[in-house]
Amino acid sequence: MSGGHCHEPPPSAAGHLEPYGIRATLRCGPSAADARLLLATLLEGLAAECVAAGATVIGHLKCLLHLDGGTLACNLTSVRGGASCGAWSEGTPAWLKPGETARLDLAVLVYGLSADVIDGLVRARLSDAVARHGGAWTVDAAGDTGHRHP
Amino acid sequence: MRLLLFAGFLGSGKTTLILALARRAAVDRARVCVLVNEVGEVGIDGEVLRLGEMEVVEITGGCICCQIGVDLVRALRDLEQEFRPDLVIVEATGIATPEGVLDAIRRYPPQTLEALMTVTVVDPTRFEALHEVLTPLIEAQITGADCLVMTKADEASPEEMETAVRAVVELAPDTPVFVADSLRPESLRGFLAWAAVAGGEAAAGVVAIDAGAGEAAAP
Repeated sequence: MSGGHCHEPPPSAAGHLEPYGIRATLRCGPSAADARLLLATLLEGLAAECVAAGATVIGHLKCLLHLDGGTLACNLTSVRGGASCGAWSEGTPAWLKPGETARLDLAVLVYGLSADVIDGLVRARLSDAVARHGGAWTVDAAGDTGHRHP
Repeated sequence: MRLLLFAGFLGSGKTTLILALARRAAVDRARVCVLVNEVGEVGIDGEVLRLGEMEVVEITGGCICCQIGVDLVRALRDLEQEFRPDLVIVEATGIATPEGVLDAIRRYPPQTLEALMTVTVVDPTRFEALHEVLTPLIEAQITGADCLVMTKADEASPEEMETAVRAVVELAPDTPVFVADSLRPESLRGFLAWAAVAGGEAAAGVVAIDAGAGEAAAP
């Protein structure tokens, strides 16, 4: 069933979409970090840079930050609209404590950019966002699926 | 087992709407499972739905409408054997056409499916721009729907909403259109009443809702 018969619509003016995702571990530096602000800044900066790099459509930028005590979700569908962030349960901490580690799952779905280009933008933005708090980050998994959708 | 397929472009609000529907169904202790397809390897929606205490199966790394339909069929069989759900909600990727996914679903043994309906979720704040550059996909998602839900009513300007509603009614004149506002849960009444019929008793959480208070914009 896979392959062969395909219902993909004809190519569009937006070009193609190369899905990109990354799983990373963030380590907060010596100063605490406002987790929502960090995520919003990350997504909004990333969206702006995707557009500057030639993205034709911002599809969806979305991420989850798994903190000790809860999960924060953040997503963005347009530069104009900005990022929207929220906690999934009461008591979810709003701050990354000094030295705390947290897992970040981030998906970037934009048209018109290769996964390699997106990867470069994501790594630069992550480094910038974490460095502001003297922290660090490591990649657990990253890349695209190899799936090309018109 | 009844099945509701949710289609709609990336970021249109499918996951949020599914959470609302599944929560309503759970009120009546219906067995509801959600099958999420994400085009990327890093799944976010499945995790979000799990945080919402849904029973979730994820299919990642491709599109069930064209690439990994066999995984969908296998997942549906496994779900039925393990959970015996009353209602299965399938969340397609934002770049899938309903036709492609339905083609894969129909390969599931038909005697086990009592109903199969498609809901397409539309974001009016981006509709005009997306329709302009992704015309075939957006139109396929709209014309392939049994029901259309316009989300983000609290974010869209009156002009954006009017433009989007007019366009979808033109494309799908016989399809009911509902307007949902995340700040007013009661705005979901019309859609949930529709889903109660489409999803049968499994979506019976809507029985307490006055269907007459629905927000159907058309027809």
